[in-house]
Amino acid sequence: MNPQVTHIVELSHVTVSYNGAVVLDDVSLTVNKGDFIAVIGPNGAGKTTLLKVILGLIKPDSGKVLVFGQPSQMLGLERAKIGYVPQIAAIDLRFPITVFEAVLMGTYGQLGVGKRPRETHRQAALAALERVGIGDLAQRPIGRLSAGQRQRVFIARALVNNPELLLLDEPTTGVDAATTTSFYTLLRQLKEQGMTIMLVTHDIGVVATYVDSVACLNRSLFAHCRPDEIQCTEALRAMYGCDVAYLHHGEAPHIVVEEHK
Amino acid sequence: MTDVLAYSYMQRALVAAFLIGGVCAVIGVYVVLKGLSFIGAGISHASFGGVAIGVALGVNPVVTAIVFCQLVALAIGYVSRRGNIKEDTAVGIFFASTMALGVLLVGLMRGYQVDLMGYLFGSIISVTRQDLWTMLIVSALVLVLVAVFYKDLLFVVFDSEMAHVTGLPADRLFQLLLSIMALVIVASIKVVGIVLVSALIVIPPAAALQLTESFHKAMGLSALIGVGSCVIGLFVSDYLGVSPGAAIVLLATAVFVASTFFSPLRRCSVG
Repeated sequence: MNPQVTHIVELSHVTVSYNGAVVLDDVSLTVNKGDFIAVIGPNGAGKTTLLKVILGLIKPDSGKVLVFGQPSQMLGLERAKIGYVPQIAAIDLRFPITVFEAVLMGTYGQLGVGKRPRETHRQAALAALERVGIGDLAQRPIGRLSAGQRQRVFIARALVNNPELLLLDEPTTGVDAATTTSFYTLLRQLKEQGMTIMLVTHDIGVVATYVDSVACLNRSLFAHCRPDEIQCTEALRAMYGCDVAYLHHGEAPHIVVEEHK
Repeated sequence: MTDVLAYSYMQRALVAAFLIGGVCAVIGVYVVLKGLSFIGAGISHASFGGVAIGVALGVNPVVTAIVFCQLVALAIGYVSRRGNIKEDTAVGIFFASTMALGVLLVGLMRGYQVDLMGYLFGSIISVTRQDLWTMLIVSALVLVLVAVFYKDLLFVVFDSEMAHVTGLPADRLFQLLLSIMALVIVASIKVVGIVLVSALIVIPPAAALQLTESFHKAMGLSALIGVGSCVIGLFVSDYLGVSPGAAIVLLATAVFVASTFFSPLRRCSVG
C-alpha cells in the first residue's frame, strides 16, 4: 500500500482471552520490513494465538493490530502478500490431492471465488516447489511424504504468491536435524531476498543462529532483542543450554525450563 | 427386465434413481472428506419437520421442507462458527427436536392421511412428474454450483483456515456446502426416505475414496457407484418385491465393503 510503510506488523497492547483465561496479555511488538524474527516460549505461551491475531483469524479483546498498515480484521488484497505455514497437525494426511494441487491452492484466494487457475498459477506452483527443493514430488499424493517433505509442501504453498511477509508456526516439528538446517538456510536466503519472516517455536537453540531478533513470549512479551543479547556462552549453547541462558536473561519465567524437559 | 420399463412409473423411478444417485454421490465427496456425515443425517431428519409443516399448512411439503432445511443448515453453520456449543451436540438437538415437531404436527392432523412410511423410507415407485421436475431442477442447480465452486469448496474442505488466510470467504463457502447438502437431501427423500438418505451421500464417496487418491477421480467414481447402486437396486427390488430404498442402500454398502477388499491403498489399515 503506502510505500513508506516499513512497519510490516504492528501490535499495540493486544490482549486475547479464551473462556476467561488470558492467552495474550498486553503484547506490543513491531516487525519491520526485512526482519527475521523468532518468537520463542513454552507450549501454551500464546505463540500460535499471536500468529492468528496477525492473520486476522482471532479478534483481540483489546489492542490494535496493523498488518501492512491495515487492521488485521479487515485485510483484503494484502492477504496475497502474506504467506502462512500452519502447524502440521491440522491437516488430514489421507486427503486425496497431490503435492502440486496442495501448493496450487495457495493461489486460490488471489484468483477469487469461481475462477480456475491458469498456466501462470501452475508455473508459480511448480516454481515454489522447485524453490523448496521438491519439484520432483509434484505428482505425489500428500499422504505419501516424510514429515520433512510435507513441511516443504506447506512452505511452498506459503511462497506461491511471492509473499512479502512469511509467518511460520513451529515449522521444524517432527523434522530431522539435517532437514532443519537446510530449512533455516532456505529461510535465510528468503530474508536476503527481502522477505520479512516471523516464526514461532519452542526450539530456541537452532533458531538463535539464524534469526535477526528473538522475542520471548509467555502470555506477555518478556524481551525483544538480538539473539546475542541473550547471554548465552558457546559452552552452554552446545549443551542445549540456551534455556538456561534464557533463565539468566532475567524476566523470562522458569517455566520455560520445566516445559522443555 | 425390459418389460418393467414399459410402465411409466418405472420409467420415472429410473430417472429419479439416476439423478439422485448421481447428485448425492457428487456432493457427498466433499461431505465425507469434511466429516459432515452426521450433519447430513441431522438435516435429513429435520426435513420431516419441514414436510409436516407443509402438510399442516396445506402447501407443497417439498417447498416447506427445502425452506426448513435451509434454515436448519444456517443454524448448524452458525453454531459451528460460534463454537460455544459443540457441533455434534447442536446437530443432536436439531435432529431430535425437528423430528419431534414433525411427529407432533402429524399427530394434530387427525383424519389426515400422511404417507409416513413413504417419507421415512422412500417411495421411488410413486415418484410423480412434479417430483421429477423438482429433482431435475435441484440436480442441475447443484451440479452448476459444484462446477463453479469446485476448487473453492475443495480448499475449504481441505484446510478451511488456510482458505480464509489466502483470502477466500471460507465461512460463506462452508455455509454454501451445507446449503447444497440440505437441498440435495430434500430432493432425495422421495427416493430412499428421510432415514436412509444420508447413506446415498456417504456410502458411494466412501467407497470411491478407498479406490483412488485423486479428488476428481473420486468424484467421478463416486457418481458411478451412486448411479449404479440406485439403478441396479431399483431393478433388484422390483424383481424381488422388496423395498427399493433398502435395496439401494444395501447394494451401495456391498460396493463399499468390496472396495475395502480391493483397495490398493489399504486406507482401513492406515487408521
